Amino acid sequence: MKEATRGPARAANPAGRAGVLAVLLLATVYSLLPVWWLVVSATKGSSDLFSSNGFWFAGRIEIVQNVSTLLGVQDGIFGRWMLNSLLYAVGGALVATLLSAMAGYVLAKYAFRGREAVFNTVLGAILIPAPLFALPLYLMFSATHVVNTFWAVFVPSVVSPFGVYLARIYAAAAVPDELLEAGRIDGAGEFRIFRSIVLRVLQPSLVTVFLFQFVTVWTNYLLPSLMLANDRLQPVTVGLVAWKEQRGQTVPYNLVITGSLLSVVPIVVMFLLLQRYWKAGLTSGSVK
Amino acid sequence: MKNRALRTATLAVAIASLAGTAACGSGGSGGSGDKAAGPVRIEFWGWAPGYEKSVELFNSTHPDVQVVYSKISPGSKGGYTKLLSAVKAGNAPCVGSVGFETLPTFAAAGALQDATADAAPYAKEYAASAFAQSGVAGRTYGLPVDIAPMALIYRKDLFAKYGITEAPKTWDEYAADAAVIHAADPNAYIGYFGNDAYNFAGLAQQAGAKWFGTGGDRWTVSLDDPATKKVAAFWQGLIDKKLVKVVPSFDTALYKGMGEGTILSDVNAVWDTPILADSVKQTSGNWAVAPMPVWDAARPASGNAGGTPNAVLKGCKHTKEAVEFAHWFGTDPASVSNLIKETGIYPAALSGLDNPALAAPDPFYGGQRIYDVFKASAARVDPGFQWGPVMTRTSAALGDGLGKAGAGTTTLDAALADTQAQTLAEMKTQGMEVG
Repeated sequence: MKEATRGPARAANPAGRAGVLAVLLLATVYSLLPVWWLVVSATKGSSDLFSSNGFWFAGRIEIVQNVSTLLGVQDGIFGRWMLNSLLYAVGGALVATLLSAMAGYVLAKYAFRGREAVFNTVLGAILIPAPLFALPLYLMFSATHVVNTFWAVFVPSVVSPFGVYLARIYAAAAVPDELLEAGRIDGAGEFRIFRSIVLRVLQPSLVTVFLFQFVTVWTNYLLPSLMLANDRLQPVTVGLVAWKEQRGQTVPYNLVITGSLLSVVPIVVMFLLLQRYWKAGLTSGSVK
Repeated sequence: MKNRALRTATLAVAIASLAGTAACGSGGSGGSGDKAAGPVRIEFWGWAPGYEKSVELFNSTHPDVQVVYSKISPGSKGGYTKLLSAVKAGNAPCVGSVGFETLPTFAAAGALQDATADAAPYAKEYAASAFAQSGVAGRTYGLPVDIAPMALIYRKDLFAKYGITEAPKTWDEYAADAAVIHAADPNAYIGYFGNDAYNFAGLAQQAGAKWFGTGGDRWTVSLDDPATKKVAAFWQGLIDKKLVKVVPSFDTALYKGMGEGTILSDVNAVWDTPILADSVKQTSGNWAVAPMPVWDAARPASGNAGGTPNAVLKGCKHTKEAVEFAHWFGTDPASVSNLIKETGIYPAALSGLDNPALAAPDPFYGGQRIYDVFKASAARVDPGFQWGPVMTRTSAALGDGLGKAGAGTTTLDAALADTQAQTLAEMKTQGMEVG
C-alpha cells in the first residue's frame, strides 16, 4: 500500500520529468532518424539521391516510379523475394508459436521425469546465439539432402526456445490448476482442454511469441544465405544485400533503397495489427 | 540444480556438435553418382550479375561438359562462408568465385584443389599479376576472370579552372596540385582519403609493398614495410595539411562532393568508372581518366584493387574440365563480351583487352577511350604482390585504422602497426606458422 502512494509522488517532480522527457525524446530521434532517411531517400530518383539533402525531399517525388521499376527489375524477382520472406516468417512464426504453446504448457502443468532437464536444455539454447547453429545445421541438412530447398530455411524457423520459455512462465502463472481440473471433470480430453481452454488463456503471450519469431525470421540473413544457392528461394534480406553489394552496377541504389523501405513494411503492419494484444501480453506477464 | 542445468546444456551442445561431425563424415559420399556415358556435370557457384548468361553460352557450345550455375550471396556477405561450409560438408561445387584477396584464405583452409598442371598451359594468356594471384606458393588453384587496374579519375574542367592543364604524373605533383586547388577555393579538394582497405592496398602495391610472402610452410607478414610506410606518410601529410577531404569510401557524402565539384578526383580501380558515372550523372562529360600518379617517373608502376578468379574447389572430381571451363569463361570472346556488358568486368585475359566493347568512347568521360589508360595500367601492376591467409581480419583492421586516421584519432603509421599485430594474432589463433 505504501509503495502505491510513493510511486505517483515521484513522477510529479517537474525537473525529473523534464529530464526523462528529454532522454526519451533523444532516444526517439536517434531511432527514427534512419527510418526518416529511408523514407525520404526512397522518394528520390537516382540523380537526386546523391545531389540533394539526405534528410529532406528533392523537388521530384518519384516513389511511384521507383516502386514500379523495382517490381519489374530482373523479371520481378523482388516480389518473389517478398513472398518468400512472408512464407518463411508467417508460416515459421505460426508453427513456432503453436509448438511453443504446447511445449510451454506441458512443461508448466505436467509433472514427469526429466522435465527440468528438458526445460534447462531449452534455456541453454536461448543462451547460444543463433548464428552458432547455422553451420551445424548446414552440415546436418547437407547429409540429409535438404540444403537448397524451402525446408532448409523453414524447418529451423519453427523452433523458438525463447517462445517455449515464455509460454511456460506464462502458463504457470495464468492457467489455474482448478480450471484444468474442471475441464477434466466435465469429461474433456487433454488435447481438448489444451485447444479450447489453455490456448485462449495463453493468447496474449502467444502474440508476443509470434511477433518475436516473425521479426527474427524476417530479418534472418545468415541461415538462408548459407542454406540456399537459388535466387528464387531467397528471402528479401539476402536479395537486397546482393543488390547492394553490386554498388549500383545492375540495380541502381535508389531501387535498393526503395526495396529496403518496402521490406520493413510487413514488420510495421504486423506490429500495428497485433499491438493491442502484445501490450496486454507484456504487462499481464510481468504483473503475475 | 544449477550444476545440473549446466551439465544438461553442455550435453545438448555436445550432441549437436557430434551430429555435425557425423553429417560431415557421411556427406562426402553424396557427390558421387552418374559417371557413365552422359556429359560431365560441373557445378559452379558465383554471385556476379551476368555470369549465368556466360554459363548458358558455354553449355550451348560444349555438349560434353555441362555447367550448372547457382547464384549465392556475395562472398563477403556470406558467400565465402557458404563455399567453405560446403567443402566441409562434402557437397561443394567444382568451381567457385573466390576473389584474389580471399584465395589464400581458402588455400590455408584446405578448401582448394591443386590445378597447377591443368592451368599451366594457359598462363601466358592472362595478365601476369592475375595469373600469379590465382594461386599461392607456386600452386595454381584457378584461372582469373577480371582484374582491377587503378587510375586517376578526375574533373578535367575543374582542374583546368584552377590552372592545372595536365593531370599530375607523380605523387609529388599530386600534392602540389592539391595545395593549388585548396588555396584557390577553401571548399575544394583534389581528392579524398577514404576507408577502403583494398584501395589502400592498391596504393601500397604500386609503391612496391610486399605484405605477405610464403616460404616452405611459413608465412611472412609485413604490412608496415618501408613501401607501405612511404604511402602512409604521403597521405598522412595531406590529411594533416587538410589538403584532401576525409570521407568514407562509397559514401553518399563522397558522391555529393563529387557532384557539386568540391571533390575533384578519385584514385580508384576500373570498376569505379561506371559507378561514378551512375552516381554523379549531372557532371557527365566533365570527367577524364589519367594514369595513376607514380612515385618514380623513370620506373612507372601501377596498382590493382580487386578481381576474381574461378577457383577449383576441394573434392572436385573433374579438375581438368573445371579448368577448361574456367579458361573458356574468362577468355572466350562471346563470354568476355557478355561479362563486360552485363557484369562490368575488366578482363584478365590479354585477348579480352582488345575486345571491341572496350574501344568505345565514353561520353561521361568526355568521349575519352578510358580503357586504353587501364590497359596500360594493367601492364604495370607488380605480379609479385601476394595476399594473406586472414584477409577478412586484415582488411577489417586496416579499414578501421584508415577511418580513425582520417578522423585524426590515430596516425596511419599506428594503424599499420595495429593491422600487422591483429593479422599476426589471428594467424596464431588459427595455428599458422609465421616467421
